[in-house]
Amino acid sequence: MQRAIEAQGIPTVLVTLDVEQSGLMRPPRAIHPKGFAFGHSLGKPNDKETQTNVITAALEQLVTKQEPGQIHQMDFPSY
Amino acid sequence: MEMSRKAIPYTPNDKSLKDMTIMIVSTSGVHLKDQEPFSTDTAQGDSTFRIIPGDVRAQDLTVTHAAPKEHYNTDAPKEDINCVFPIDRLRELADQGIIQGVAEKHVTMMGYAMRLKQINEVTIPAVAKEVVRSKADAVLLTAG
Repeated sequence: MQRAIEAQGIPTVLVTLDVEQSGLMRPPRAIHPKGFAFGHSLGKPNDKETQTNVITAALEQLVTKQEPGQIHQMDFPSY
Repeated sequence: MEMSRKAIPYTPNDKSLKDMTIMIVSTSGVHLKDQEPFSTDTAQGDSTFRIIPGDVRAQDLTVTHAAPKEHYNTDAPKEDINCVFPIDRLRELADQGIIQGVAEKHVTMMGYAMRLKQINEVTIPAVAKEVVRSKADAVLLTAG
């Protein structure tokens, strides 16, 4: 999906908790919040702080020049 | 267009975030409470997608997903949809001027479908078309 959208000329960034599966797809830009449970892609319910930190970190990938195909491992201590 | 698995499509981006409208494409099984839920038939999965209006209220969204609970516990996003579909966080960033805006529509799927041919030949091209039509500057993809 991500690849198809990029192929249309629209930049994308993926937040993934499944590094193994996503890694196979070689996403153009991606982050992996380390240690998050499935269902908590952006953080726990009502944890506005972590959700904001994760979405901000993801969006920053859009304006960071990088080699495509990497999944950036990231720690979010507020999780 | 068939792409080699080795080649990674990568669209360079020259805009800064404050000039970008962001769209969410999510495979977390999010849908409007009054839309048809995704099928939880694990033998078939569900390769359809839903359009979520940009002005949706978070409380009008829910999640239906066929994945076993130990793989994806939907209790969290049912309590707060922003766990997987961060619409309120995106709006806050737009209000603060960090991004230009939130797209006028978003797309959701279940990300659990057995019919891969159907997904690749029908669903993905249709979603890509919706993204292009939305005129979003970039897409945030989330899963469960």
